[in-house]
Amino acid sequence: MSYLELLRLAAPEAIVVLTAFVVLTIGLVTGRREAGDTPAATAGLGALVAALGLAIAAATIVRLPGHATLFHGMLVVSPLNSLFQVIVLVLAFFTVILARGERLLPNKGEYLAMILLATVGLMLLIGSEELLMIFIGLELTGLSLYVMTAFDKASQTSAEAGLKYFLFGSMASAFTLFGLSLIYGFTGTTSLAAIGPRLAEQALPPLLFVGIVMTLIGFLFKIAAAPFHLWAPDAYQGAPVSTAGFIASGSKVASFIVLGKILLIGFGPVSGSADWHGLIAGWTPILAVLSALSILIGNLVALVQKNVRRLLAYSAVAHGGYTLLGLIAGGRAGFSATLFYTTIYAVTLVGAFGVVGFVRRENGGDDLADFAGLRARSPLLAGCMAIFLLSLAGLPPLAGFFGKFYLFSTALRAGANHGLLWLVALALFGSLISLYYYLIVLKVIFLDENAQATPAVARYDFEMRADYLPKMTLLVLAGAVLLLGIIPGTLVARILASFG
Amino acid sequence: MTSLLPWIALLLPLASMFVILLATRSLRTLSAFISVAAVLGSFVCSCLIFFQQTSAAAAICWIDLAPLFSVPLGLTLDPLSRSMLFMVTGVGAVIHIYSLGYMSADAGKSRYFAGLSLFMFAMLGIVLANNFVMMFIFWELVGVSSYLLIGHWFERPAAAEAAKKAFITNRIGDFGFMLGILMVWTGTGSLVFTEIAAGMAKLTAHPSYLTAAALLVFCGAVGKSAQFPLHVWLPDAMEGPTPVSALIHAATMVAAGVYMLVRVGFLIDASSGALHVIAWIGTITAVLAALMATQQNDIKRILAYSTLSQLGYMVMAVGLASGQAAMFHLFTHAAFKALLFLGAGSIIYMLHHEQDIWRMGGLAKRLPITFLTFLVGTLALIGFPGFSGFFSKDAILALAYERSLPIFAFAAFTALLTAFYMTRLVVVAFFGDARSPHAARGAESPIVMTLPLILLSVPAAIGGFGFFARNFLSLPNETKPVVAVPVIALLALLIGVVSALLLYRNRTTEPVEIELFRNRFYFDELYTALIKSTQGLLAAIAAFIDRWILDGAIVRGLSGGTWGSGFLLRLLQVGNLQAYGFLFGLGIIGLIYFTVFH
Amino acid sequence: MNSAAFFFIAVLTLSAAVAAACLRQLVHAALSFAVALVGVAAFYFLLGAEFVGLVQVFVYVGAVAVLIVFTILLTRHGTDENRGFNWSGVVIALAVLAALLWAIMRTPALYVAAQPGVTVTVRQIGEALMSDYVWPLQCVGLLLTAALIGALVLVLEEKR
Repeated sequence: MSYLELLRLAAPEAIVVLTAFVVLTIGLVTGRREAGDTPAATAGLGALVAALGLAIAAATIVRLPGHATLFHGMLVVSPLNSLFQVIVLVLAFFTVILARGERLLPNKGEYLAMILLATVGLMLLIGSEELLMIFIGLELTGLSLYVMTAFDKASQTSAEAGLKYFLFGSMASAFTLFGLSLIYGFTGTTSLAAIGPRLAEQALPPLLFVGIVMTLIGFLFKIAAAPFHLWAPDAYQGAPVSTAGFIASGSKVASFIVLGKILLIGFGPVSGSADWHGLIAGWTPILAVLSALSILIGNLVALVQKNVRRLLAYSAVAHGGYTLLGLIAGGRAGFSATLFYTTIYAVTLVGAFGVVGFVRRENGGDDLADFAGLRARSPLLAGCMAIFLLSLAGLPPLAGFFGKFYLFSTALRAGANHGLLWLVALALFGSLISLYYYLIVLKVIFLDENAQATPAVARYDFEMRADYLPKMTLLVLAGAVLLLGIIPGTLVARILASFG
Repeated sequence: MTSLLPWIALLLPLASMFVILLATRSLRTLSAFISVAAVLGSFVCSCLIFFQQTSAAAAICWIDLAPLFSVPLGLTLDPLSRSMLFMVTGVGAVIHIYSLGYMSADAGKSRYFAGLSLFMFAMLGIVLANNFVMMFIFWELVGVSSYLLIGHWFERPAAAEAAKKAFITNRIGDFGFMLGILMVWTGTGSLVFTEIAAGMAKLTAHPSYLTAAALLVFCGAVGKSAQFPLHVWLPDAMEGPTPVSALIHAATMVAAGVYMLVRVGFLIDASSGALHVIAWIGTITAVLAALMATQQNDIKRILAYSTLSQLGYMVMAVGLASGQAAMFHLFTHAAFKALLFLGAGSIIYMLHHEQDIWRMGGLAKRLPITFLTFLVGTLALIGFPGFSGFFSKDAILALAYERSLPIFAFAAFTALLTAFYMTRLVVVAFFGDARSPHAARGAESPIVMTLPLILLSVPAAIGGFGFFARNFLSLPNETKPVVAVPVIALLALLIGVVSALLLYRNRTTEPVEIELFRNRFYFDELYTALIKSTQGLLAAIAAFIDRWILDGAIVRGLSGGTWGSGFLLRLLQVGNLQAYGFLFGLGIIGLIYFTVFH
Repeated sequence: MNSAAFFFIAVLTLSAAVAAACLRQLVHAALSFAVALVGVAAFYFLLGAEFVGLVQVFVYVGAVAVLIVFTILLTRHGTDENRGFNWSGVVIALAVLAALLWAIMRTPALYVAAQPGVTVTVRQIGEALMSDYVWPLQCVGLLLTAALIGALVLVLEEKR
């Protein structure tokens, strides 16, 4: 190993870091002349540089060698990792563009830099198969996201959400770190590939199980599985909209892929079984219980929400529950189902939060009432939102349908003697409930009249001056959701092929 | 070329929808003609397919996840789907033409015809699908288009509400359907109908599993074909435009459930337990709906309940393990029920959207063509000898007589009720004196609307004769003709007609009031209360949690959002965070204990 | 290991940690926290990990704890509300402890035995950090940078 080799393999991360510093400098040089809002031109330049940097990083990933491993798995280049690093970069790219359309935050340069640093964290998470690096990635992502959540200083809810996210995030991290140290103590290694065989060799002491549970907590926190979901509604509601979108998309994708790797590569021998009539201790029953809990709590509480962002947060809890099904099923098929679902979910949520951002900019709020009559004001936004929400509800032929079908079918196939039927039935029931609250939002958008009739000027403003680029982005995202539903084979085949 | 025909038939309506949505939205009349042309094109293709006896087209692989599952994009062309294709496009074409007249002045005409095209595409998809996944996708798409068309006049709250109700009720059924599909797939390892049929041995080895799977698949049909207890959406769906009621909620979509059951007949027939349940669900639906129909005043609602009741007959036939009898009735019913709805539409159109039969009267003289064709439809529906309904209903009755006497008794009773309420409808609406100013001034509808009536009355009249029907589907063969069945059927018919005549001749108001029937056995109230109380309970729980965890949170005494450690310290003292922390810790403990002590 | 020393340090560390959680005066709590950190450092020395022990003293006692004390002294404005004791936290902590104790009792021994008599020099650590662990080292640096930027952004007062 030479430093040059390291630089070559870590070039994508390095590019994003450099971009972050460039964006930071742009913000510092030009941004603070006037008090208050960052000038629009600067914000535009910053966003342009950020987007460019992300695109270059993605291009660099494509040019990396197919397989490479450095430092016992601390930096792993594989088709799977590369694919998901590109996906995360694309999500960050959309987030940057949609953040442009948002109400100008103070210190826009710093905000963009934090997005980029969070992206680096996600790339580290995805690109390592070693506990130490995974933890560093987890922390880098977490810290950046805490800051981004609290970024809107004019808003109390933003500050409060940031603090809560931070406190509970640190708590979860502490548990994870403790768990990792126990795992290390029992296996003498931090490399996932080496942990698996060690675990298979020995009879498993209870303390090891404690270690496994504690390790999982940090990730369960990140994917907002019940009962570790309490931060999510506050964060989704209080954070700047683009941050909420990024937490719901990029952070989730990376968390699921790492969780999958830890469980299937590292903890594979202690998976246990969650079959209805044959529970075997291990991590599978834990995940099954949490998945069931998430599906129930998420969907039921979402039913009575009056704020669209909170509703999306609770539905995110439920979707986290569905996505866990693939990991519970295990194996390549289960993992690929989880990855496919979390990817399309991420794309959908970035889009949905994009629409929320527009509405918030226009009406100053994101309660259900603020969406009233959106169809009349902007058919484009209303149409996109309909596609996103119906996909979340799992209506064919949108991507959400195939995603669920894939997940549920793998889960049903996995358990011996249809042991997971109970969980699949519960998940289907949950998605039935979810349709109800998504329809409530759509009804408000399409049928209700706007109560506090916006003045004509504002409406003009909304339609005409609203950025062209973010709207095109939304259209692209909606198109992707439709396309991934009609020809899901392309992405699934890619994921499966990347397992090698 | 011939292998492309079914694809053309399927995709023409889709193309029409896209053209209307993207190009001709503002040109309303052109949009209408595009849609009509598309469905006529599909009809021609269907005729060619039908008479050339084209067989299955090559399947393309759509989703290939080889070891797990693969879904082909294939069409199935067997006698069943060929005749269904012919029927759907035929009735569809007639109703499209009729819509030209009925919706001529509607502002949302483009949207309406785009919706109809989408529906035709989805419905043909169900008919042609050769695997469960495709069928389910089109199944949902049919639901969406039905949602859009019921809610066509969305400014009316009742229409919007009805659309939502239909959608959600259907999804409840589909929840079971999806689970059933997954179970069948797990059991047999395939999603393609022919392969499942070949691999049935794997399923029959586990009878209880098979029964569960078959019943779950049946759930889909319960939703789509509006069977008890999910029947509540269909009457409300009458808020949509009348041609929609005729096409979707009488002739085609609601029959899709029955069609699906027949398509997977090999699955259903393999489980006697499932058959039993299906037969009784059908019977209950038939009787209940007929009872409800006797006390309705809205002409479309009477027909809607009658549709429910007839669907009950079809499901009953499926449950009695005779898909052929079910399909026979499905065909004749499609013709005469579409005819009846279009006749009702003609009346409603000329009476300026008057739907109450007690505000009609004397229409026989003013709308002669409508009256005559409506009469043909009625005679077919009540099973008057010689008309189509007589043969198909007789087939089901004979079947019931042979397999289960209690079901036969209920079926015969339903036939009596059918004769009763239809006679009531005809007598009140068409005879006597006009009971409202609109009814007194009504005149015959334009030719574009009466022509479809005349066209449809032909199959409604003669569709049941063997020489005619045999061309279109394989008729159920009665093993040993029983004299008792037609005699009892005729007796029921006579009692029904005569009692209704005696009761309703020259009446101007309803002589009998049965609240239970009029209020549809209070099913809607029951469901509404159930949903309301559930939601209320949830809201109460959520409010409690909010008070406990969230509300304490509103950061007190914080000025203008300045940040700093002072703020942080104050926030730490708020009870909210501790409650969060408590729950978080509880979760961790729960997990650890669950793992360690399990 | 010298068990008498072990028990002495353990008791000291634990009681300091409990005091840090319970004391009313924030400054006292912070100082107790520093004592607990020193206790942990003592464990490292006891285990023969001098370098880690030193780092623990320099970084945590020398920098972090002092920073906390300064922050408290500089920002608190004498509001000393009397808040109720958080029993739910105690219950949870005890429950976690009970589960851990139970698990430890049931666990025979660690799988990997420590290699005896190997002393690691600072030089070796430095070489390892610049070779095998250079990638995590860089990433930790990035992590700290991100934390620094974030903290500055959040704490900076807006000029309005």
